Amino acid sequence: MVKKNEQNFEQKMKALKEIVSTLEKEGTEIDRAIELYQKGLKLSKELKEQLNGFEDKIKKISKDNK
Amino acid sequence: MNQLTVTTLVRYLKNKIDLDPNLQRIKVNGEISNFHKHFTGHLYFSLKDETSSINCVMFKTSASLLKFEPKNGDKVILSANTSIFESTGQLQLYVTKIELDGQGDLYQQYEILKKRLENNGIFNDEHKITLKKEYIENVAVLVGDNSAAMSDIKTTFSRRWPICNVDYYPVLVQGKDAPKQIISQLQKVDKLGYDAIILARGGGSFEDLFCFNDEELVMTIYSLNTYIITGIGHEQDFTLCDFVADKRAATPTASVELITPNLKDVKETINESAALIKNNVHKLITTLQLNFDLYSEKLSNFNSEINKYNTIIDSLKNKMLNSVNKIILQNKSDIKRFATLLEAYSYQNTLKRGYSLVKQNNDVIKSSKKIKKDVFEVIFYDGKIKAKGV
Repeated sequence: MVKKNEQNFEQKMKALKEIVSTLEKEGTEIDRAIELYQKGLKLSKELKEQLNGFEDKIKKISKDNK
Repeated sequence: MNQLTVTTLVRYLKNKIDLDPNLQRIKVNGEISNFHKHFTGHLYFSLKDETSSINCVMFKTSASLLKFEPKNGDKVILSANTSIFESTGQLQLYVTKIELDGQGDLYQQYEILKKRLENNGIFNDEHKITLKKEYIENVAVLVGDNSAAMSDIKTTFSRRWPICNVDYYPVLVQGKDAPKQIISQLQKVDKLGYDAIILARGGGSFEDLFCFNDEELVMTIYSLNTYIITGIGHEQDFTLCDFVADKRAATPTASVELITPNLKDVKETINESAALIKNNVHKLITTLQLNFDLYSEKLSNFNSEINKYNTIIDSLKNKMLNSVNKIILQNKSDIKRFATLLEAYSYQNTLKRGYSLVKQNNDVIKSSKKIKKDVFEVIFYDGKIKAKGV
């Protein structure tokens, strides 16, 4: 289960990096750029949420096992 | 007739006897009576037979070499010198050695039987059983009823291993009827499932212990299924039963000591084991603690990994925002450029038709009233000139 989530996280990270590099490339159309930006923000929000989840999980595990 | 003093007479007799080779370095056999051991270590007794008796003395130096304790009734052969004790005028034997009479024969019998049994492999180790239990539970003891050996055995059991069940089977331990009785008791207890049998007897002369050299008894012990230990006589006594038994102890007390653990030792072992267990558990906990610390560190590393990702995501977000802003800016400036162009194209065609455009300070002058008396621009479709109002 955890492994699958981690893969998802990695995949999302990869997607986000691709979006940034596409945006940084010259000649990206603005419609496409806005679309990508929207997608990128959504991805980064999800990634942050996932990271928070990891953090909470670690805290809980540490507390439970103290 | 000569008149003599007592001293002279006694001295004369003493000399006569001392110098008579038939009375010196002689061997005399008889039975000991009136035995008395003086506190100085000298032995005083009488040697008698059916009709006569003679006083005997054995000085400490010779007595200390004796291999047994002489007692009244012992049939013995004395090595002695004859002499007279001057103070009392008494004739006595000065004993240098005492041997038990009859031992010679018995000892020969013993040696012959021992040799034969030995040659038949009866004493071989491969026939011996080992005691299977470290903490023995049931023991049968064959010993003389109310004997010192029995009380020694009881004391030793209660001192060392009181939780053991001990059953006593009193038997004769001396004389010609003893072997038969011991054999029948051994055969009985062998079927009762004891962990061990003790066959014991206190100290005694070679003759006293001779019943333990009985061939039938030896063969019975040989064929026992139960572990048997003997504790017969003292350290120096070896009977044929000792040779055939699974184990030989020097004394009745030692026979118990050899098959029982010492309660004190067992308690100590238990305490030591408990301490060891406690120690090991402590060690284990410490190891686990160390492991935990290690994992905790790894976990906090993992936390910093999360922070790293957070930073990366933030920077990617910034990059995105920058890029998007740049693209928007680019588009804005494009739009502006296109607007200017469009504007330009919108009046160019009018100018071609013969109109011109007046501009002053970059403003298009739409009314003559708006023009200032200064230099202004007139723009034609193919160029522009500067002019001045008149």
